[in-house]
Amino acid sequence: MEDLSFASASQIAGRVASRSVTALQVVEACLGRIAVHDRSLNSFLNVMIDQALDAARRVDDAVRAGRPPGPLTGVPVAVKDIIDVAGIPTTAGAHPRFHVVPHEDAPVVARLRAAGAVIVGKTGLHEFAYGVTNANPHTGSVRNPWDRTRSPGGSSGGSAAAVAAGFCAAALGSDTGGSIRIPASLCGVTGLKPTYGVVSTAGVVPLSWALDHIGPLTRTALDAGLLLSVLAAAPQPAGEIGRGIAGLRIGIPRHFFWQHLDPAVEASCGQALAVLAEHGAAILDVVIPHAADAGAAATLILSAEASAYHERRLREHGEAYGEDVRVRLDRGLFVSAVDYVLAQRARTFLTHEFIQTLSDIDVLVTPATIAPAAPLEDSHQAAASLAMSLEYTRFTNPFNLTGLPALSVPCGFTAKGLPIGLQIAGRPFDEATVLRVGHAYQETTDWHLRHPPL
Amino acid sequence: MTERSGRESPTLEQLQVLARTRGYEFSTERLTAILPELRRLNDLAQRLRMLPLDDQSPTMKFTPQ
Repeated sequence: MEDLSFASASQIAGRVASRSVTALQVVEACLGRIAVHDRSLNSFLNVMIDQALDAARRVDDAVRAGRPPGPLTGVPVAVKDIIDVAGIPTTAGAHPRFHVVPHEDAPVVARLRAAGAVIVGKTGLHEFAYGVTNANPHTGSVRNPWDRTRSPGGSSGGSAAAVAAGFCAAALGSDTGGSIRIPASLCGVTGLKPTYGVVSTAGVVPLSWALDHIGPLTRTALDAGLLLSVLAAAPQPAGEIGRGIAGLRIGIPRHFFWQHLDPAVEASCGQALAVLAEHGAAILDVVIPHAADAGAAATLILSAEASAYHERRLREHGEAYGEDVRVRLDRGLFVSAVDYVLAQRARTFLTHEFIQTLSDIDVLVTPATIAPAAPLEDSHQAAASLAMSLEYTRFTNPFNLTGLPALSVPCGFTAKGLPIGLQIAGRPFDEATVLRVGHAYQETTDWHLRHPPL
Repeated sequence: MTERSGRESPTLEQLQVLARTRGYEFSTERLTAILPELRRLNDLAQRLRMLPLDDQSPTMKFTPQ
């Protein structure tokens, strides 16, 4: 069988549905690759070998019976271990005391299965998804496939690393301050945070109810659209995504979003704008006057809500948390109700301001992160972890606060071979235009096709 | 109520009182560990107080296009 390790989800689904390859062959190849290479990456916390093989056989039976299950027929998908899969422990990357075994799939997992996807395992994350380094005292650190001495970003670092390494065609992540887009950027894959509320967060361990989003990490923007259609039970947007971007108005918020960048990030993202202009898009400078305040509101909301969720566990088993997460949770206990409501009012104000800016343009384009992947050795101390959260969520958490859809696509590499990501954000519920820009960019660039040497 | 100018960040002693008032048991070591973060959160809240929020309610809705 040809190597489909880096085939897209839509390619695999087409091949399995047309019976040129079986789901069992695809999944066996994935599991074999994980067995050989994941020892050095630690992207999976739980590889569901028997369940995946059984599911693949059922998909093949359905295909042979002339009833391919859906648009993800035979596609191997990994799930961040904060999302429930029936019968498999949900660890949240936490101390074993906090593990639970759910009786039901989260709705997003049920939808993937109904569409023919094969769940191959649960991926590693920052403890309780509360951090961006994926340095984890309970499970060990996930390592970046492009440089194993570096962080994959987080908190969905295992999902991003698994897709980048060719262990699966797609993965689910959660994104509360950038936890899909940051690791997508640092691992060189595509990551989509949909509009707030479009994809169910039921059956997912909460971090912040106001800011939590679920979305896909994939090889391409086209695949992100395919998975979104399944996760949101919406029509497939492939036709809309393929329309090209001639005439689209792309806003560049240079103040705040394009400042203090690593030189390689600035160069690659700048070159990406030139590519989008060559496609016929109009590149326009825009101003979001209070964009720099979005992080303040997001941080206050996150701090208070995360501590509200964890309060009882903190009281009873505070020692079971890693130091950086414990500091974050302890601090949130002291956020006043007045300051929390202040942040929620700022959220209303800033959301209006972002949407107002988007009334004159179709999408906003920014770097996904201020810098490429940082060394893991720098990220184990609590102070360093807290500082990295501040730095790496700078451009992503404004879109959690405002709930706008945002995509990260690979747009280059540093001289040391580390991936760089470009963020494309759009109007509420207009994922199609966001993905359209990402797809047009990927049609004429090959950054998303490059693979790390394992 | 009157307010001191500048809304100074809490000291360790004030934080110990606040923790006890809210029923939390913290060692001095743990409170010391979170003090820098609390000061940062205080600064962030102060920053938000500079926004023109008089007409803003904390409710947010999106309207599908």
